[in-house]
Amino acid sequence: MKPAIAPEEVYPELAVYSDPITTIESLPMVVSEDVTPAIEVVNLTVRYGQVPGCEAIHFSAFPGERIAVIGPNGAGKSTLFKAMVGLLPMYSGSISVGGESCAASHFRVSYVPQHESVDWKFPANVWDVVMMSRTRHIGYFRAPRKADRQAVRDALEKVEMWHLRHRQIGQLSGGQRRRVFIARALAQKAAVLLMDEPFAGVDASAEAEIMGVLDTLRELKVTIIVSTHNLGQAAHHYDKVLMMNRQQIAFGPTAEVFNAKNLSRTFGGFLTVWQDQSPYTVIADDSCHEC
Amino acid sequence: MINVLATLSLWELIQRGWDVLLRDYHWFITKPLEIALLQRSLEAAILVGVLSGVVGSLVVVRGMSFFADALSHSILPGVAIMYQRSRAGDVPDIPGVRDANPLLWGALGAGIVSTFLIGFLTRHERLRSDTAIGIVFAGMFALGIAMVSRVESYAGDLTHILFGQILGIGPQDLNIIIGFSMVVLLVVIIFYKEFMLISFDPLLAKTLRLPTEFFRYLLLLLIATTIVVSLQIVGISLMLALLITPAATASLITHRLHWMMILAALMGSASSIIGFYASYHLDVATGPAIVLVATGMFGVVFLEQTLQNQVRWGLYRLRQTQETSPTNT
Repeated sequence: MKPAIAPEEVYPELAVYSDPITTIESLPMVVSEDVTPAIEVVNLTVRYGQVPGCEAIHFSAFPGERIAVIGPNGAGKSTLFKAMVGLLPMYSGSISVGGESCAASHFRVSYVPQHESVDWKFPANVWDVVMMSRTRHIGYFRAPRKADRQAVRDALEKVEMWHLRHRQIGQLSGGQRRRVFIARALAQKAAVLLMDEPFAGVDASAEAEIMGVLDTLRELKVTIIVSTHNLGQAAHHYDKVLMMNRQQIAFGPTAEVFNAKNLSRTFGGFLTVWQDQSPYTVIADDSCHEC
Repeated sequence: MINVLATLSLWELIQRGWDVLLRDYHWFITKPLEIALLQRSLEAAILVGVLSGVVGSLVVVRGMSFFADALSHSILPGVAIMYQRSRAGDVPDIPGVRDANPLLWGALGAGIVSTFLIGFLTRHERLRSDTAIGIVFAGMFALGIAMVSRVESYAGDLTHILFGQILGIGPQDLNIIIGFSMVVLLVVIIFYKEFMLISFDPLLAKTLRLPTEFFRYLLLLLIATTIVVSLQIVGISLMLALLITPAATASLITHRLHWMMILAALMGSASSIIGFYASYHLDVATGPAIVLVATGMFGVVFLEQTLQNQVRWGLYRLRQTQETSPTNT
């Protein structure tokens, strides 16, 4: 979709913009003396062989915060998530969870994979899937105990899926499927929840449903980091935004960093932004139509 | 009315058949068991039915049927080596190996070698896993055939290896089958939740810091052992059916893994029993008879479910028209 008006006409600074990519020192970091960040990513670089997956990512998230990670396809969002949860080795940098080194506490970070990568025909019901996350708490050679069953029950009640616990996972709607995986993170007692494209392929009502559950999690002081393509949603429903395209473009409170300049740099000029007073209006996204 | 008549006559038919069965109970059921060899075969077949149902469930949910088929063919060289040596009277003097069927141990060795070879080739995703499996499978199978072909009169023996020879089961073989079955079942029960987690979500297993590679190889070893134990019952070429079919039937009925395993074990052993008697009375080879019964069970369950869905859909449509018709008129 070609915009009728060139972005330069709406935002003159786009045309003259020529700064180098933001360095870490200039990022607006939240400095808090009394609260330990739930997760702190320091100058993280992940590489596949010599190919960089994501470079120099640097941010921290506090308990109960909700952060959107946005960037075009292939920007390294999934790579970042996999490194944060310990599935990919770090090339350089470090991650700490709740002030501890991540080597001992990766299991306090829960990762909800992309919807397509789950085998929905697997013979397991909702209860089974949530109980799986207790495997480490239960330990080897043991059956689930009362505490484990209670944790699963609590988690399912929080996401309002308790009445559907006997359903096979393939018989659930899109919103319900995501809620099961959120319950799994809760039962795992995770402090940080990473969700990879949870809103891909769900309708508006399911999206509202998931957002409602995320509000519940905020009360439980769970930090939620979501990668999303939905820029309109990113502008409204998150405390902070991390913009990346291989490198980190910007990180900070939504009101500060969610602007045309940063978006344009993130999406490489393919994205055109109109901003009418307050609510953000985002139109035209060529880079995503190619995929 | 016609329907009622049809069901009545069907019922009479069943009753008459049941009478014949009761009258000839001895001839039908117990007579084959008077021969110790046949009794042993039946026991072995039931055990193998249970074992392959349980392990086969894991194979089905992980989509590993090609691996299982390949592995069953790759054990041929091991069988061939032991076969040549036993013909030459040169059996290793190890207790258990000496007394029992040496082919079993050869098969187990080759199974383990193939498992690690496939595991090694697919590591780091340098090759697609089905490609690696195909290469090892065809290579090992060709090696086995080449080795067997050096022995005179090999055609008959090869048939036994390929299609099973249930009557060749000696008392020692049965003990070995019992032992291996118990070990495999115990391992599956002990590590049930770990196997389930790794099959459903390997990423979560890794984030929970479970030794996923260890469990992957353990599962491959369990499959190899199951195949070796079942070797004499159904042979190399029908092995896959024993692993896949009862588990697939069970997966149509239930949607929980442990029920799937239990049901598959029941159906596997039922196929073994029915197939055993069918093979005795109809004079058919035992392996194919067992597999045909298992396949028949699958067909019945599949058809039943399809019909049920059709009926449900039909009823739904009927209700829809009934609901809408009064408003239309």
